[in-house]
Amino acid sequence: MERASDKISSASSSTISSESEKSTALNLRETELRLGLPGSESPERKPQLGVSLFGKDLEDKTNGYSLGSLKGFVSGAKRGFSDAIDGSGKWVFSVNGGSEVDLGKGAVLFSPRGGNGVKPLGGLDNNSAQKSCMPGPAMKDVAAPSSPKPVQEKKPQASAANEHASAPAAKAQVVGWPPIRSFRKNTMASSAKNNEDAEGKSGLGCLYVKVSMDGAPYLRKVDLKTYCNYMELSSALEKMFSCFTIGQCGSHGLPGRDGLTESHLMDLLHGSEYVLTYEDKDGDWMLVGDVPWEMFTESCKRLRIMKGSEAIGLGLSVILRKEKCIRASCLFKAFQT
Amino acid sequence: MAYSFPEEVLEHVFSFIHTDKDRNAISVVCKSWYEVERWSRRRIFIGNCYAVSPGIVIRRFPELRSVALKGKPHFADFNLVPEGWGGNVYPWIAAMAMAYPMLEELRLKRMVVTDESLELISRSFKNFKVLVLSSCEGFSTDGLAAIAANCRNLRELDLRESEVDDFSGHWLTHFPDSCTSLVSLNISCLASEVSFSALERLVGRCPSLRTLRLNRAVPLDRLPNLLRRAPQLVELGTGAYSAEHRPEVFSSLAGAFANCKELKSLSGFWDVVPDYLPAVYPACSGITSLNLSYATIQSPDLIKLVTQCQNLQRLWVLDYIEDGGLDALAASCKDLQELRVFPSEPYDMEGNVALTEQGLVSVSEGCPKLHSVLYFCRQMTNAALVSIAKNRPNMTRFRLCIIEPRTRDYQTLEPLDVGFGAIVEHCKELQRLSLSGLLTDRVFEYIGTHAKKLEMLSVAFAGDGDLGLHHVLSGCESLRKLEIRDCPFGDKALLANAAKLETMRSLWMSSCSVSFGACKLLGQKMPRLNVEVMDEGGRPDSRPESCSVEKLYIYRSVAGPRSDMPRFVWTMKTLS
Repeated sequence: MERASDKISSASSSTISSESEKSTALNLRETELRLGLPGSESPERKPQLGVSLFGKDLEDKTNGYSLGSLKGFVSGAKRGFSDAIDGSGKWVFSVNGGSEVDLGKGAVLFSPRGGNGVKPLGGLDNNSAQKSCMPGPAMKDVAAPSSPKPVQEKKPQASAANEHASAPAAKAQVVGWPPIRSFRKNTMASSAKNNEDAEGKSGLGCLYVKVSMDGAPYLRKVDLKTYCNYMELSSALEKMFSCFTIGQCGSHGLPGRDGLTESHLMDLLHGSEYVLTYEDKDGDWMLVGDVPWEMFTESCKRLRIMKGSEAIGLGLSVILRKEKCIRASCLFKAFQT
Repeated sequence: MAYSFPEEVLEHVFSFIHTDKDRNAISVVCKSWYEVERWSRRRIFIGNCYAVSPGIVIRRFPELRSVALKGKPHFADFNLVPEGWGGNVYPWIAAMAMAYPMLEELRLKRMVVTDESLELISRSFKNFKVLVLSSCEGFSTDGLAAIAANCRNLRELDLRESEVDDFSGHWLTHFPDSCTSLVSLNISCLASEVSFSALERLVGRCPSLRTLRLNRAVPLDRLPNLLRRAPQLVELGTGAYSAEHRPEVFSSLAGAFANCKELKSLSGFWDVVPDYLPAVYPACSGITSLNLSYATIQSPDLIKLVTQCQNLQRLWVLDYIEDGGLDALAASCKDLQELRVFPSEPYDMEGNVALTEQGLVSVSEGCPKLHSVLYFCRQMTNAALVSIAKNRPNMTRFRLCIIEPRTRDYQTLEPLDVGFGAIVEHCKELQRLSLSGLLTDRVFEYIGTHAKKLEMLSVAFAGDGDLGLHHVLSGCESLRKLEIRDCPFGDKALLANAAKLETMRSLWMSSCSVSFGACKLLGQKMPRLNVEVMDEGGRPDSRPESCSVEKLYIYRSVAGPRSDMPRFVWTMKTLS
């Protein structure tokens, strides 16, 4: 599954940027965001976060420029990179030894499930993980000590890959548990995929995305098509998870282009307990409110109501992005001509 | 006795005796009854294909018409049995091709069926009528083409949940125009698109067609045509149940369903678009079996549909139905006998739906005929289990899967021993039980004490030690199949109850604490048991005898150790 292969761990983002450097002659490295702790091994997500945020930067500041082609460029770079490393057995999610710890630390910045430690963000490609162990060992440290030992699945990859793709849960997956027949697993997995593909297609009438909230026992599903703007979404979610607040967004109203201004954002981060984030089609976690509503509904795959403290990493990235926007837009103009 | 009944009379009388149990009983009355019975037996069920050999079967029963065989152990469904373990049906087909030219029916479960086998079937049995391949694998659509082309009297082709190498849907066109005998066609497991016009013509020329289970690739707008050609259908599995909402498609579909006045069973419903569900409402009052276990729709839509089916006896559904939906079910469907609730997100750590133990309690209260349950959930209490047990003493099959292993009663934080104990105590006819949650040896004591009719028990992540296993093996008189994974059961109970194993069909233990030494001993002491050790880490005798084996499969057999074991399966004979 392409998503999984995109998420293959990379040692550094410099390769991405050098590829894109070659193709665009832009110095993107400066604007790339590195959110790991200094000296830590980059978990798989970070370089991509950097690259895609950059892509979104450009979209933000350049009204009228179609994000599509730019994102294509960005994604193309990503995919090229992952293709390049696909062959070798090196770039697998679970790394050995001490770097598991780094992975855990890095992941905390992104994963709202901070307490749970390592979360395989965006799912695993079990194909590439055949040689390595599953994230079991890391999980085991944080999970209950009586957790069953994770065993590699020997069965054809399809079901295993589907399992992972459909369930970015932090638990080590035990072979054959819960006891569900492969036929059912495969069918449900391809159901989920079809639903994802189908989302956004007009005529099917619904755009269900999952909403989770840190600490709440259940996920919910909302149909994004039933809302017209962030305000409606926010109040609906508020009702659903009644202790949730999207901060000042609702009360201050929204500026013309449906985006949160920087000051609102700062209020949000410092003031309220919870922050609304979403996972976009590239698997990156973004703060809700950055992009026009229609763009949001097209790219939102799931929503997460994150604790404010854990969203600081994201918030920081937004602030940094805002600062870099100016620089990026200059670069972008250069790119355009 | 001066004289006895002429054989013809005995044979005539025996022709009214059908069940295996009765047939087996009359065959041991005396030698002449044994002889008459064996010549007149037409149907046989072999629950473990390795318990007996084709030669032995053929020698005893020379005139069989219908054979049912099961291969791999049940836990193979959950990927616990490695590839290549066995269960290949070819030797059976080859032997039967010679011995039973008049064979009519073959029903296989969890067996490896190659295209070669299918081709041999299609060529060898001139009157072949029924082929049911349940959870089988190893064949492709080429094999199906052979069956379609050569079996001129084919009545049933049922591929339920098999894994098929699906090259294309072209195989369906191999049914000759002269084939008009189909009664049942189940292709729901196939991925490829079959030729719709070929399918329509096939359906149209088989006036006795009662069961049609389509695959996902059949789009919704094709369904009305198919239904119109088969208004006599009793069981229908739809294809994908989604389309852009177009009024003419909807009314065509609704009309077609209204025209099927015999419909009793519905399944399929992949990719459901709720807007189209009302099209089946005209048929709902006759529906007794509803399989919505692939329908990813939410509780309100599920409730609307289910509450229309007042005569529902069997419901398979996803946990999207939630407790509210189960309440509605309990209120509307008083004839409900079987309920299966599957998890929509089995690998999510958190629950995604509001389905708890309460839903099951409601159904147990509201549905007096409920006797068969499969329920996946994330929380449970002893109190709920006790309620269910008291509400439904008629329970015969109770399989509860609490998704997180070793989950406690969330209210009292105790193990769920007492709850399951109540189940076995009150439900005196219980035949099948699957346990989950945190369980100590106590629950096995209850089971050994009370579950006298229990035939199949599935255990995972439970128990404290050997005593648990001992309770079950020594107490459960009717036990035939026992499957255990990830439990701290060791040698003592197994060795102490070795004789019991000969009264059972099979025992599976994986990730337990049975040592290789104990397996050796068992294999040596019990010649009529096949003790198979599965270890992908190499020869078990290359390690100390006290090392635990990965997987253990013990079954009784009159055929001795099998000759087709892969490299990772050892018996004590192969190791000596």
